[in-house]
Amino acid sequence: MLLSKNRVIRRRAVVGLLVAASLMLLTASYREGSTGVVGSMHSGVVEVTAPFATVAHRVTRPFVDGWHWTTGLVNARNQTAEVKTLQTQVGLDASKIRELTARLATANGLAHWVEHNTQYKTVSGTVWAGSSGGPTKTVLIGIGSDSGVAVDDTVVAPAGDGGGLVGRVKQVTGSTALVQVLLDPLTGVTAAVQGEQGAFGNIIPASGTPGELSLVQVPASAHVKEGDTVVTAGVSGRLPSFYPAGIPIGRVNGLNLTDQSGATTYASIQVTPFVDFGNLNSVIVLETN
Amino acid sequence: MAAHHVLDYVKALVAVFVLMVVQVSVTPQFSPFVGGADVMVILVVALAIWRGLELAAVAGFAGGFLLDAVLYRNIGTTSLAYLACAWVVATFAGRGEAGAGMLMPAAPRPLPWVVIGALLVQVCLVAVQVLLGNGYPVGYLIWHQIAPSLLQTTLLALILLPLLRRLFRPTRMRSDVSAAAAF
Repeated sequence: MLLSKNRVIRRRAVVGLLVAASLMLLTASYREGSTGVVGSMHSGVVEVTAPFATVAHRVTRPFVDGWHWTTGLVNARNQTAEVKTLQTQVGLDASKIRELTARLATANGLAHWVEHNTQYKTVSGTVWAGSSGGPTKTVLIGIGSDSGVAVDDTVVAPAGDGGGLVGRVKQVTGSTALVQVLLDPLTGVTAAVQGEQGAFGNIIPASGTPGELSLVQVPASAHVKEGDTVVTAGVSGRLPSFYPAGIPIGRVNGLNLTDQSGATTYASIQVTPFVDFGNLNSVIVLETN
Repeated sequence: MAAHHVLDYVKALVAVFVLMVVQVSVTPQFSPFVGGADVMVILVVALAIWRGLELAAVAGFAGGFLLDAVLYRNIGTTSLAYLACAWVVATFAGRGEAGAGMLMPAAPRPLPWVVIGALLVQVCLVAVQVLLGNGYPVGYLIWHQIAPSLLQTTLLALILLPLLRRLFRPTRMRSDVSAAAAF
């Protein structure tokens, strides 16, 4: 037991001495920095170990080079895969940009319909007032027969007001005209979905959704999808319509096949008009009559 | 002091020098992180388990001194960390003294204690850096120094521990106190 106690005491003494030595070295290190005894310790140890470190460095150099080559290869493979992914992404983005550019060109064409159809004489005017009580069905504009406006003339909004079809002139005085807008069920506009063969129908106000339109009596076989543009058809049955063909009306935002009449199934298409009839500021009258 | 004890000290000091060279010159070249593998702590833990606190403390002090001197750090910091590691492992590794005339209990597995020891040393060194205000943010040190160092040290311990075991074969000596003296 005595020997064991001696061992414990010796162990504690050794550890205590080493801790004390460490603290002394630490204190000296902070006080002297890299000068004096501590500095000579640094340089002495480095001088002794430098040859061994150099040898170790040279011996391990091929392995280190091999390691770096391997990790570089792995990195290169990863980067190649990343580049391929980026190339695919760039291709997709370019395709998307082309599609968006085409859509922008179409939208520009639609918004500036009047500028692109110079065969019609036009006259611009401001909106004085809209009908009160419920969705706007008529608007009073500040131009009349003195400016060349006639009954049944087509009225469109300038690009700043949506650039779409507003309606047609219902009554006219010398200096004012009353315009019947698309939200009036009696407007009677025949329309088509742009780019879709056979997608013709009639525009009526949407029931239950103020300010929205419905394109009804469209054959169910027509391939209409959300986002398609609805424009005037230019014909009404076999007769020419009051409205020239191609005037933008609105964009398809939904469709269903619940409109059934006899044996034929028709699609009913919800259309959001380009023109906000409640906030219309100015109009352009096309002297179509 | 018995001859085999002297031999143990010689072997330990040679191992300290070799591992110091390895730690300074070799392992940083394979590590993409700030913190490379700490091979010295593997030796300190192995000695604390197989030979006891005394030899582990001497090896830890010498190893810390050499590392601080070579790397131009404040001499004594790493020595203190290794001394703490040696004390913790030797005290809590659970290898009790043999009774009179009895074999010593088998040494515990060193790998978990290497992880604990390496974590302790890294935390001590980071704590010193943080307390002295000359370090990086703690979050950066944890993820770029402590964690990579711990991982690399553990992986390297899988290779180094069997070699050290051949060098310092765990003893199961009878206690110094004879059975007769005990009674």
